[in-house]
Amino acid sequence: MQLICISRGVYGRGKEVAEKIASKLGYICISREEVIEQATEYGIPVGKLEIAVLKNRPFSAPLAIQMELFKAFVSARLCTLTLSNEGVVYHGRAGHLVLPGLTQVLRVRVIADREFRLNKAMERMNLNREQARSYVEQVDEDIRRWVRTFYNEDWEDISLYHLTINAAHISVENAATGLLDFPSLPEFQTTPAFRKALLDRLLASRCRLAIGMDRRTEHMKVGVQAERGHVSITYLPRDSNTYTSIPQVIEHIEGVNSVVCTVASSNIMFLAERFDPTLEVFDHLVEISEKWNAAIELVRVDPNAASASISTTMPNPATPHDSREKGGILDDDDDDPPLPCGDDDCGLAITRHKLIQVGRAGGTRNITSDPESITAALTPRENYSLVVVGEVFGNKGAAKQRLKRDLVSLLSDRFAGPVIGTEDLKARYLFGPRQVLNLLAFAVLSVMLYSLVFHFQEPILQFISTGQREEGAIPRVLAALAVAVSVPFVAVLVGGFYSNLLKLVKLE
Amino acid sequence: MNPKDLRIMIIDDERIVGKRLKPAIEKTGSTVEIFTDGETALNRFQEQPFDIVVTDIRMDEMDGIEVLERVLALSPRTKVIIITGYATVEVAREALSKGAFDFIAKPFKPGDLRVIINRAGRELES
Repeated sequence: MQLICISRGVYGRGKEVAEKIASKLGYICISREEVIEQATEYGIPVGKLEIAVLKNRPFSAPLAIQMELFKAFVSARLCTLTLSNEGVVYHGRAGHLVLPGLTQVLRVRVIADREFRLNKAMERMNLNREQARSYVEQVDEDIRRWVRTFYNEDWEDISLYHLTINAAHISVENAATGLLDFPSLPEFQTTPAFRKALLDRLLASRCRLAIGMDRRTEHMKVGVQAERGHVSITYLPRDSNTYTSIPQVIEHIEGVNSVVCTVASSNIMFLAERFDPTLEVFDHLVEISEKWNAAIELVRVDPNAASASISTTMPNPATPHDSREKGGILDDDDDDPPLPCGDDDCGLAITRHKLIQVGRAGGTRNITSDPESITAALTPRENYSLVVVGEVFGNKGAAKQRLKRDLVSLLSDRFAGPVIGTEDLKARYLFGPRQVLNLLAFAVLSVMLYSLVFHFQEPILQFISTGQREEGAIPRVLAALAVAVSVPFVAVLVGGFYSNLLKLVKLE
Repeated sequence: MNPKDLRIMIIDDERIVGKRLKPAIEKTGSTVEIFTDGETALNRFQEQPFDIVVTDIRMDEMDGIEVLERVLALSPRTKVIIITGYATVEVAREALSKGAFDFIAKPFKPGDLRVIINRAGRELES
């Protein structure tokens, strides 16, 4: 029960090395192409994912769900094979990333130098040198983009591999022979913990696939974890109406003992008229969402939409798995609604794509722009950890800031969590130069205060106890007043210091 | 080139594909002929060239890459559009390196293909 994952590029001899080592060890060998074929047969449109990456198009919400399903499919396939065989060698473009967190998986990168690859491409595809050069470079770029989009990793980051082999200068036989000793090292030995991790991963992947392939739940973005048959599902607040179907969808899966569905505890809503992932505020939001393990929902406030209209980017009902009987040709009437800002989409698509890349996408929707409609559209049932209001009411001229303040106030009444403008985001939740100054100032003042208190301990205690000992109302009132004034003062100083300190250590 | 003047050939070994695409593409006024194997399609192409060839990549007798190469050898001006349910970037880049006009992955709506056909028609005109 051993798993060797080999990451390879096009014409880099990774396939040959993988097949050779599998044959030497007596393991089964499976390629990414075989898994893609099985996933496509299963109903996941992997070709659409590939072409979206090739054409460098932002992923739509339904495509992002298909991406999750494909990852779950690969994970389930490899776990199944590993659990039922002595050993498995998997080779593909991101072989090293398909089962993250399992330390016993041996992760190898096989490369070949440029000249070797160009010659192979010319020979195999009957291309001239220029065509071969362009082919190899473009495929490498596509793979980089794929790895970035699917796993938010750098394909060429050597720290992600246990070892890298340049197979251009040694024979496949010798490359495989060189690798032979690695699987027997203690680090890659099968342990009960590894077996349990594979079983848990397999169950979680099967549950994710079942949720994604069932009509009732196919649109849901969920997190799935399994531990000895106990499956816990986290869903986004927007799916509060449909999550009840999840137990029915997955309870029949072999190995499921119990199912617990909980709404994701941390979710951030970001309202704005336009979105731009290159702005600093986007980085701040992502940083906060990473600290809180939260998903970010993008809510576009559309100044031109009809009153009280809400549109959510739910997946198209014509999902790939029911297109098969039509030969993969869908009906024209399944047209998507027009984009709210015309072709540029107000930056929604590209921002969503960036969030998908960093694993923080929490869906998108459009609502109308007047404050009453916004608050009516956002139900209080949707429990957000933070609501951030960006640039809104751009067409209202000088009244823009006032309207935004009103909106923040209205939303604060509606949501239990904090509601703030983007301008306050950094100061409230992130640690920057201003917070360094605050931290130092509060630290100095706190130290001074405590030094003074301890230095003049006796007179202070005498003053407070005077009120207790002496008769008369005035000394008592003065002592009580001194305590009443100094306690909040101390609390502000010490609280300010600790609040900034916790931000610094990301524990606020 | 006006869509009404375009002659379009669709090759897919799944009969349902041609059956569903033909009426959807004919809506624009183009002439559409459908084939289920590359050999018959190429014989027809030799009789009378087509402006646009839409071909599946994975077929039993002759695959889409071979259709692409042979069509372009016969008529370099023809635009070849590849359709497939089993696309990978490696295969798509190979097709594009060999002169394919565009690549579309199944499942898709006929409208998506019409957009590519219109673009090909405009390029044929220029």
